[in-house]
Amino acid sequence: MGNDYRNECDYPTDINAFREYGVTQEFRENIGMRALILIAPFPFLIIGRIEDVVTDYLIICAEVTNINELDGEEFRIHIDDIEVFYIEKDNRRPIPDIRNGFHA
Amino acid sequence: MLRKYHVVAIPIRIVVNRFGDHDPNGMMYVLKENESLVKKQVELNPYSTVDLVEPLVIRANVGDEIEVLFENQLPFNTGMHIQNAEYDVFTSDGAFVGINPDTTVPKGKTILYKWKVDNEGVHFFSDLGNPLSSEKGSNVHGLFGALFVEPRGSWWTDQVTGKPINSGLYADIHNPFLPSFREYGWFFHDEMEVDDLTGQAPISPHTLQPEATHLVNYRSEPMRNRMRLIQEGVVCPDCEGEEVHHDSWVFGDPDTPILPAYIGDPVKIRLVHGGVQETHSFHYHVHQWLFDQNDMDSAVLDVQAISPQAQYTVTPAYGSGSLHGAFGDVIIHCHLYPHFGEGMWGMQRIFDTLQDGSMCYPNGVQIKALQPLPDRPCPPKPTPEKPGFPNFIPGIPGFKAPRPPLGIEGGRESTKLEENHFAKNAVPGAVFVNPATKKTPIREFDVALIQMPIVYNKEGWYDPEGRLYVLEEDEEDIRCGRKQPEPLTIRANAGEAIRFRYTNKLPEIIGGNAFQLVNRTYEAGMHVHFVKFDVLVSDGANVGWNYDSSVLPGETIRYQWFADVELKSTFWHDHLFANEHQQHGVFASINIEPRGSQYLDPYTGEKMNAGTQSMIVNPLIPDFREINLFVHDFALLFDKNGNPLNPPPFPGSPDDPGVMGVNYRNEPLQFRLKEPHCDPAYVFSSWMHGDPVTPLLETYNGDPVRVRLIQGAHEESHSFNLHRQRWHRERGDLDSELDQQRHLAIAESFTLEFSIEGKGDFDMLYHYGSIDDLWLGNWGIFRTFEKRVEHLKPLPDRSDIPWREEPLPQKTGERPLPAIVEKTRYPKGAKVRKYDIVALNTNIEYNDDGDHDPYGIIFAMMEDVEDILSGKLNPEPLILRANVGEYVEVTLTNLLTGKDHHHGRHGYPEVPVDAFFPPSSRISLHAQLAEYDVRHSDGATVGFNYDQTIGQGECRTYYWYIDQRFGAANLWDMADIRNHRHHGAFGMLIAESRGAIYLDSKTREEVDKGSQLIVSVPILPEFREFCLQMHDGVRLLDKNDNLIIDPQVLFEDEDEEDRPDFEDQGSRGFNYRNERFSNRIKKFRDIHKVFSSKKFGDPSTPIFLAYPGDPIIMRLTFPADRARAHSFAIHGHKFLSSERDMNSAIVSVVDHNTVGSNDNLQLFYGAGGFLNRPGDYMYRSGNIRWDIELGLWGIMRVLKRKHKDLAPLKKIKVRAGRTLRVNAIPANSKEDTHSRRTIKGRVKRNIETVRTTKNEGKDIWKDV
Amino acid sequence: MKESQDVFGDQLFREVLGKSILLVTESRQLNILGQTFRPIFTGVVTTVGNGFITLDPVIIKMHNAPFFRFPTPLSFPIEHIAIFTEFDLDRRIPLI
Repeated sequence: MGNDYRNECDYPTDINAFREYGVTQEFRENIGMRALILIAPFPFLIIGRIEDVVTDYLIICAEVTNINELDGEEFRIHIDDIEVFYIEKDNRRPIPDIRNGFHA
Repeated sequence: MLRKYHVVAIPIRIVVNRFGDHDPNGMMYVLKENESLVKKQVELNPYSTVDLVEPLVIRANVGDEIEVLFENQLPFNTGMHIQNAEYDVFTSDGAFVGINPDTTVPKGKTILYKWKVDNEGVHFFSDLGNPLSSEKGSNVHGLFGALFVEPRGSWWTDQVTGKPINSGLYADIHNPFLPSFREYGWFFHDEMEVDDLTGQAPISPHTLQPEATHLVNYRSEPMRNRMRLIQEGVVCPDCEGEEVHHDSWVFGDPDTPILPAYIGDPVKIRLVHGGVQETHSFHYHVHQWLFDQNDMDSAVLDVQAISPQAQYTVTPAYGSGSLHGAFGDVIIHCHLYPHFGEGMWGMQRIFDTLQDGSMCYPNGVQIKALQPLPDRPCPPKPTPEKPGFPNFIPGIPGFKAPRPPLGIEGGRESTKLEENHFAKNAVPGAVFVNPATKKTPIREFDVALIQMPIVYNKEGWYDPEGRLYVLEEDEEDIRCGRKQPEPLTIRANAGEAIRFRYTNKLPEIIGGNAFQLVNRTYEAGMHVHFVKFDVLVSDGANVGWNYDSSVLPGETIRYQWFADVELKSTFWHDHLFANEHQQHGVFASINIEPRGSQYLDPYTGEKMNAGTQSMIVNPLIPDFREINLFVHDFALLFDKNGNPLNPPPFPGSPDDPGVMGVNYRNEPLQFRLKEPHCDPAYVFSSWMHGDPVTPLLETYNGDPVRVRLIQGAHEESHSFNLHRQRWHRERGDLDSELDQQRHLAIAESFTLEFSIEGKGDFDMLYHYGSIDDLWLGNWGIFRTFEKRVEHLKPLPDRSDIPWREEPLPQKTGERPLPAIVEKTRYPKGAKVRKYDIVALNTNIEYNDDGDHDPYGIIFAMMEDVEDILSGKLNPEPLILRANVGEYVEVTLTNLLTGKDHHHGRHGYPEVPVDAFFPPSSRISLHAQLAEYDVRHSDGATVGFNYDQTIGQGECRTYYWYIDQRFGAANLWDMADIRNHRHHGAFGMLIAESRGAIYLDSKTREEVDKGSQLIVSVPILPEFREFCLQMHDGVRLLDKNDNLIIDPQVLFEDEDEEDRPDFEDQGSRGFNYRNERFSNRIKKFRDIHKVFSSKKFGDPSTPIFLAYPGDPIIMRLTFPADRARAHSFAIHGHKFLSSERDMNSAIVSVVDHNTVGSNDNLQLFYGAGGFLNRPGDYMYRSGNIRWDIELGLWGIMRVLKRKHKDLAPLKKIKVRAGRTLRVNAIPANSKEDTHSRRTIKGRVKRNIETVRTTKNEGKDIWKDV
Repeated sequence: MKESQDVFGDQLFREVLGKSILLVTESRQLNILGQTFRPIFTGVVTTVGNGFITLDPVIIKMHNAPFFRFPTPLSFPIEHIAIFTEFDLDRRIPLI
């Protein structure tokens, strides 16, 4: 039971599952916001609006990925595969939008 | 987004430097918006350089579509052919190929090209309307450029003004998600027609003979012009020339590119070869980068060899100034010394203070403003106390750069201004930056550079002025012969700082013989690669406004190098008179080993300080043996009677003088013939001749080995080949291919890591591939023992090897006995594939115009012998296939007649120092990359191995095992490389997937041979396999049986006076075929039609057929024969540069193909590119001079409709719950993407005025 | 905060809250618009909790631009963090 974590009540809970749940919850709480996601698998980068969270999958409408042809796709991303992310919760630190070409 | 450019091809006078060297017939691409301005400026400045005259660079982002309205103003058809981009081959190929429409345009006309780009990086474009190799061609005069593709969402600004720009070699690139970076286009190009101010060929003031010019970005700063100023007393009259060639204190800045940056600025150099002939060696001091910029496991480089029309992106780690934040002038150059001397260099200038245009260089020239990158901290402003580089250096314009502070023993005091710029932890040799900390372990060496005669072989070939680095402690032993001279190899561990006391003990002059005029070489230094050093004081060079970090004879200087990580073999050499004396042996290495390593002598087991062979012992990783092999050419040797060997046409000529060597040794083949038979089959045999004097690595079976390869001098490409053992192309990247061959240009360094596989005692041949190298003796032996022998220490962690009882083999002077094959026992159920083949003499027809090799020597299937000998079958090189997991038995019967064109002296194609060398009547077959027992199935009779060659009328079986899907490998005869190989004694072995079957591409019947067929594997897509064996050095007769002396140049009025270099002699072929321009066109005005099948019919080279979208693997090998490296390009298609590595670069060119190279091109998206467009796609060499003209081109034809000569591939379909294989192309296809009419209509619309050409518009669309 | 409430096991991360760290995640390489890099980051830990931590400012240690500050903060699921250590943001380290 090396993976187990014993809390105060002394019943085992899986800490890995807890942490993954926490990340899932973060996305769930921010449905409707834009997010930037880095994953190791193709297409590596996805930027778009969080549409929904279903079990441990994130539904996101991609406005930009590394591959132009995939722009506009509705991706289901396995949240446990997300390595780095940022959720744009307010306008102070926006995720840049590169869709129209020039951004000085 | 859609970007539009209007590009014009114009004639323009190109002035390449302020001395007025110029190409009066220059040609360039330029944006229409700049056309009148550039013409006006050139008219106003006929004798000086004009900034706008530069190779055209336009930019786009990944995902963009680009429309180029191309307009031609040159007096022949031109176009723009782009690499790497997606385009319609019917409308935008920029060439007139096969049955495609013509997409070049005549003078005064325009055409619209449409491109789509999907990958960051260089997309090279050049003209194929006039691909002539001579000065009548367009590329040689500058008609090339590039589209640089940036990450999505990027924009670009001018580095001086910060304003957005539309074109230009240099830009700052910005992106919201990525660091801004400095982008510099760096176009190497060669062979341009450069005249001096008087319109004559430029003359070297040193040799008083005409001299070539090599260029970067239409600029060149050759030594000859600067030297004249010295000789005239205008500047530093006590200087010689080469030592101040790059010195801005003496001459001011050069006209070649100076790439400005601040410390730490991210940088991408887009390296492009726009030239036509040479393979260059790009070297960028101080910096290192990943071979594949997108693969973090990729090899770390600081030199990149590059052949014509290839490209790389050089992204230095840590940005400008590298990890340690160095600043100053960092030279960037072609490392091939003659090219370097003839102008092919520039520099990066790294400033430590802000440049806003208000500062001046010490000679009063304004320092141009440089916008700081917006996401980087602003550099400090210059102050009187800290003016920043270069204004604290106490030099005097017009005189040589000063020597560095602190480093020189007994040297000058440093100035207050200098001290203001010192690093806090300044030490001698690391004054302005010092990456070492107090905790850094220090290793110290005392090194001297000395001169002494060096004898290269037992025949007494020697260099009377050998020059070499030695440890001071070994100097006396080496001088008096107790220790053999060899290139100095020392070692240090990762994480250490290495401190040197270096003393120049050379005489002040060199030369005064057939090779070299008397020349002063009065100062010298140590310039090192890879490690981190202060470029201002430890560059061992004299560059720009830096110090001159060399010393005079008798002086001692201190340098510090810091090895931040484990590196490979780290090259060092002199940078002051490199052109004059590096070929005498002035090269050395420091190998940076894993942390915690110790270095033991392999023969005494004692700790060692220097030596090319060592045992590296480490507590955490397996101990390994290490050997450094330094190959070198231009070795200026004399025979024992004092006669110069291969002297140049005049002393000081860079025209391929001298011979070659490995670690100051060679073993020429001409001395390894033995009376009375004088049979070349035994030249490598130690039974007959004893061991060669070249480096011999001895190991025990299973020993881990690292071979450190370096080319020490001077101008040629070399191709290291090793029998039996394999290594990963990039040592740290286990996804990289298994290799048995490595191309090397000067200053490149590679580590080949493997463990010795095999049973029993055996010898393995290593050699440097080309006939030029082998003939002159660049070969040797790796020897391995099964049991422990007296003289060789075992690796400490493998010391339990049982002792050997039998005596070691000795030279007998006799032919070795035939090798005996023990009865092979295969595992149960093993699949054994058997081939019955022959070697025979036969005529080979190279093309339909009667060019032929009547003395061809080929391998063929036994069943084809009759057809070949009766002339019914014109042979192609043998191709053998086997699947992974299979055993292969190849029985070879020797049917040679022994007929050849000569009786002992071969003649054309020539080798240096030609000699009696009669053809062997024996034959053999050696396979690359397969597994086999070297004792009987190597195919080479090497060292103390027994004879594996086959006499006339005899036969022999070789046994191979295919353990990996390595794809294409070379097959060779090893019995007589001089007389057999270039006549065709080679073939290809292909390792296919398990379960593959090979099908005829017309009938789908199972076959076992052919250069194009279908490979079908149940759980993989079926694919078409197209095999090309690219070769040169061929000896052909024309249809009237007259000898063809190549390279012949088409439409050249005057005969070339120079003899062609040895490596260029001979004709070329793809699979024993070529399609020479001279057989197709007779008039210059037809040149753009030369590839057209409408005009001249299909070429004789292979026509590969496919349907749109068919998966394709091209197998490309280079079995023979010369040292010249060639690039290979395919139109409209891309592939991974490393087929097993998804992170490797996506390219459409295979770089530096040379003897032994092998590649597998899996074309992205199948035949026809991303949109699977039908049409004719040209494959060809990238060497405009002379390959394409001599016939190295052919066609991959993507058919639109089902054709009787080509069976469709099968695809999987499920019908009624059952898996079926059905035709991928239905018999009556209704899925046409373009109808004939629309394609034709589109072309018509795009070419504003269509010329009426005979045949056009008739039945040409029939099959497409 | 009492350890008993530490259901996400982020005690170790709370120790570096407000401090600058070097952090490496588990994949071989990541890729932003074609620029690849080993997943090595430095930055100041601004939030810890719910199974991830956030760095702001955050520097991606790209091998060609080792001090590239990313325009937004970045969050890292703890399950994918391989190592971290307190680290001076200005320190230069070899990356290849």
